Amino acid sequence: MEAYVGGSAEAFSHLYRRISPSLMGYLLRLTRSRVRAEDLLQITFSKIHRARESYLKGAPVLPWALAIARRSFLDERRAAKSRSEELSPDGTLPEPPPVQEGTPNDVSVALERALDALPESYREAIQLTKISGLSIAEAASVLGATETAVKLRVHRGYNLLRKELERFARPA
Amino acid sequence: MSERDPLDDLPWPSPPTPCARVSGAIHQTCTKNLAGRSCKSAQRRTAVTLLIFAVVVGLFSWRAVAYDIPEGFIRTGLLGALGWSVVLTVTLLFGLASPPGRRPKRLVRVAIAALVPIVFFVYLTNTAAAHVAFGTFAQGASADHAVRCGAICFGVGALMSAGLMLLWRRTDPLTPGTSGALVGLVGGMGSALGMGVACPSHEAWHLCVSHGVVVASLVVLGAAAGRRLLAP
Repeated sequence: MEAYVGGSAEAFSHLYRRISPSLMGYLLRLTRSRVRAEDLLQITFSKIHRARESYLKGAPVLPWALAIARRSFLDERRAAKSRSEELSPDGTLPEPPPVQEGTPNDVSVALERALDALPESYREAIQLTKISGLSIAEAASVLGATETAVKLRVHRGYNLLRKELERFARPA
Repeated sequence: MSERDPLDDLPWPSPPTPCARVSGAIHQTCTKNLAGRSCKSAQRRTAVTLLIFAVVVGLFSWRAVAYDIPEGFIRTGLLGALGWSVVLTVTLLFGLASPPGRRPKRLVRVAIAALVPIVFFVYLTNTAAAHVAFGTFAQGASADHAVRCGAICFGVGALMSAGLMLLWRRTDPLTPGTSGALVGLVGGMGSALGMGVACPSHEAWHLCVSHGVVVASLVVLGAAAGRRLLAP
């Protein structure tokens, strides 16, 4: 990060390779839409670019970037709430995403579906700790919650995931 | 031996990579105008914050000397400012001097932002040279003086806080509200302690209303402004 602030384009490429998958995964989990996640990823990186001089030496980069991504998501959602429904380019109302039904035959698909079905707070906590690899303390700082609250969310999320995956393991 | 969670063995999805078009657009945006700059450390910003605090108190002291405030009052005010500068230094070192993610827990920092103004109120009531009933204070010239003094104190405090917000701008995406409250605390304390040197009134109600309330209100305003200004 410090080399990027110092003006190295190569350092930015390295930073991008390192943090963009985690940011993309997190945004995808929040938005459940690839297009929106990619838009938010661009917004997040442009904010990082603008704020690069304000980066305080020694701050862990991934939680710093994830917090910016989360804020971008919340801002976008707030703005979307105050907007009236937007029409598709062909003048019709956008269709809601299709509901996936039936029992998946692959455990990774089942896990994806079970993760998507979790309440947002549990989903976010599991995404940050289990998939992005943050510690509980780092996840708590990104979410603006206490460590106990994050542990509780992860635990409850795990219980829901376990129930869902048990149904997958023993289909009726 | 701890039991292994069967969920650990699940095929957790690996983080996806953005498409080439998006990656290209991001690279184009983020490698534009990449002139070499340096990121100032939190310690350096803390040092500048303390310097601004010292300058504000210094300017009020100069004004006190110019307006012939009794020497005893100036000495008391300066000793108070010196003592509180130690408290503020500890507050800054504890609350802002380490980078986000390595700072103490948010609860501790919120407690500091809430407790320091309360202790400051206790200090003000204890150092007051005179105590009158609120009814007496609220009527007549002393109330007018309190309003004038409070307005100056608030104005200087708001200016100082705004300057400090610029100094710490976009530095904290994790807890910008808490950091904003601490910045407001330093701005408010700088102004209130400086005003304590230059103000001729040492009546308890005057000190609390014109000096103490300014600190509390700037902490609240700082928390609100910090959410907007301190987050990238």
